[in-house]
Amino acid sequence: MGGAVFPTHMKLKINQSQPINNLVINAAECEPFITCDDMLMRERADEIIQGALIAQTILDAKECVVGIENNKIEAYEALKKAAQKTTIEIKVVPTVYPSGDAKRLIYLLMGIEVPKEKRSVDLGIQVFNVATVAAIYRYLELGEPSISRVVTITGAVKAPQNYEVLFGTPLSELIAAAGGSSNKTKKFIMGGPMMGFDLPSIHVPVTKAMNCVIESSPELFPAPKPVMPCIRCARCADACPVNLQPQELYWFSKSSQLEKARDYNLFDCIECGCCTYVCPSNIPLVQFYRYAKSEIIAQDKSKEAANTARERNDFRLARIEREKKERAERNAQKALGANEKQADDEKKSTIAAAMERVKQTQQENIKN
Amino acid sequence: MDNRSPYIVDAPSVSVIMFKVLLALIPGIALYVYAYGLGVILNIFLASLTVILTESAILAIRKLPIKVFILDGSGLVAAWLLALSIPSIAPWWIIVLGTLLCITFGKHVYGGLGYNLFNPAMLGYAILLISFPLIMSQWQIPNSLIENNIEWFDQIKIIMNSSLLSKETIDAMSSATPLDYIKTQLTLSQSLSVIQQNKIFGFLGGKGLELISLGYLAGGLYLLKEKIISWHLPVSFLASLFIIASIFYSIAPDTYASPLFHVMSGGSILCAFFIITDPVSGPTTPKGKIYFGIAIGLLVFIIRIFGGYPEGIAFAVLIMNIFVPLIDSLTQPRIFGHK
Repeated sequence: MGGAVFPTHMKLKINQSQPINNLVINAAECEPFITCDDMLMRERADEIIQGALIAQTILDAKECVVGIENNKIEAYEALKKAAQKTTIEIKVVPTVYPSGDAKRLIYLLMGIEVPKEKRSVDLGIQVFNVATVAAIYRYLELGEPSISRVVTITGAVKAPQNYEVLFGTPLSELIAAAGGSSNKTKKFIMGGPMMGFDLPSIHVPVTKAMNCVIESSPELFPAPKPVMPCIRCARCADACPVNLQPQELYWFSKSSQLEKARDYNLFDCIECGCCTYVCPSNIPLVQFYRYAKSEIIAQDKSKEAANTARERNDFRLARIEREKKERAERNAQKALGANEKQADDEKKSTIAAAMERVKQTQQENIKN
Repeated sequence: MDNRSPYIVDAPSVSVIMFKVLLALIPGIALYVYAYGLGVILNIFLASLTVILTESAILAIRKLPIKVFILDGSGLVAAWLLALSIPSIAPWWIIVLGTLLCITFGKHVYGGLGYNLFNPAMLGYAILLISFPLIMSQWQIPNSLIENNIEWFDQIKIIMNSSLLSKETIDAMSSATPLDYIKTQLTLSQSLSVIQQNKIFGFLGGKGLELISLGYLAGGLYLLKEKIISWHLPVSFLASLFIIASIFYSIAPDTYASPLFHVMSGGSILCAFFIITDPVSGPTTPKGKIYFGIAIGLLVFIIRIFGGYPEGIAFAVLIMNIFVPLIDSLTQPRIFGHK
């Protein structure tokens, strides 16, 4: 039930070659507006801790640590209390977006940087969201399958609140429960204001990934201000949690120098939105990176398709060539065979003629 | 699906940043007026007027929104810096011509805000220095050194119509800068301790000039506090200038001025906090900023001591501007999770 909605049963499978040593429970919930995990921790800290213990047992992990931001005091107290008699450690991390990103959280808690193009499991670290471990507990202890989650509904709705919602519930029902929409735009955002996206309609079901729904309004999220040229102030570079140079990536993405963008590690961008948040020129930087990434992926795909097509064509040409050769060989062999037969016949007839002659002479000799 | 997140932003606009830079210049300007009179204010006024008119015309030709790009304030910053760099009693057309060239060839020829390769103010200054070397080296003597203070009105008269005044009057109220004076006197085989007994030298740098530098320093610290500039550039530049000056000073104190003198005279402080910190024409990586600052510090010293001009900031900055793309590409910081 974390951001990426990676299937839990896969994450709980034990990989013989890389045992899990550390289990990290992500309780950071770093985006503003979202409070569903916070509420879950306050009200069901026991379930979370029990679920974490179950996951730890399944994974045979030596240590289990919960990372929570320092602005969730009540939740921290609740977890602390629930974890009293266990070996689970509750660690506080600073409230700095995007500390809820798994790789960032691992770094904050353990000082380990997950290397490029690797996942934390490769280092023996598994990360679960608090809501996930709570669901594990409910399934294994109470036999209740994962059929609901806590959803934050907030923004311009009349009564912003956290609800426990069954999966598949129409969003419109949830909005009605929260007092209904209070403005005319009727625009809803799924996720937080930093990384969320506009929902196409309110007639969509609540899913496992839907941790938060925000009703947008011009007061909350004003229309973006007119874009000015980049003045290279590098505020974005200071803000970037991955240490990228967003101003360079912007330049390369804008001018479609996609290879350059790739060289400047575009694919290390986690699209957290910090660069856009601090840009004095109001440049929608993340959107440029999304565009550049999708362009590169599309190009790679078409390149791959072209390569496959070329390989196939090469193979086909080679096959035709080979068949031609084989046919030619067969023909040559056939021709050779025919010649040999002819030669044989000639030989035989000569021998026969000679025998005839010998016979005749012999007979003549006998007659004489 | 429309994905335009993040939906929230929290950043000062370009205008706010630029106007804070102008605000940070005020203490220096106030001390300038205190030491030299109102001439500098007239120069700043003329520069501002020129930049607004020139930019409006260029923006109109380029079919860009005039109000937006005038209000971004970047043109005014360049104009003020140029006005503060030239002698305060230079005739009016010097600053007008300088600003015109600075904004046209320093900024808009490259595509306007955000696209210029060179620091516009320094480009304008370099053009003026090469074209009008005499005018550009006639600096006013601080008020405190003249028996009969020049009336404010006189100063304005000089700027607006220098031909009205006799050459003697101008000579009486102007002189070479301390950096210039040291340079010429050293060629006459004077020792530095004798040279520095001249009345134009103050306790740190040149009399009056050092006071203005302190004003710029205060403004610079304000910019650091407001996070408009980062510490990398001013610290690396001033440290490198100070260290190289110390080395020469320790070898031959009678030929080379003290490191403190180098830091406090000429435009060193203005350069450290306001000129090399121009984001557009400078490097963006933290390491790159340090290299850039060090290189400019060394170049400034080399030009001051061995070059043909008494002050080398403009040339040092322009030379290093050329290397910015290279510096940036060679100083990329380590990405999270990379070795």
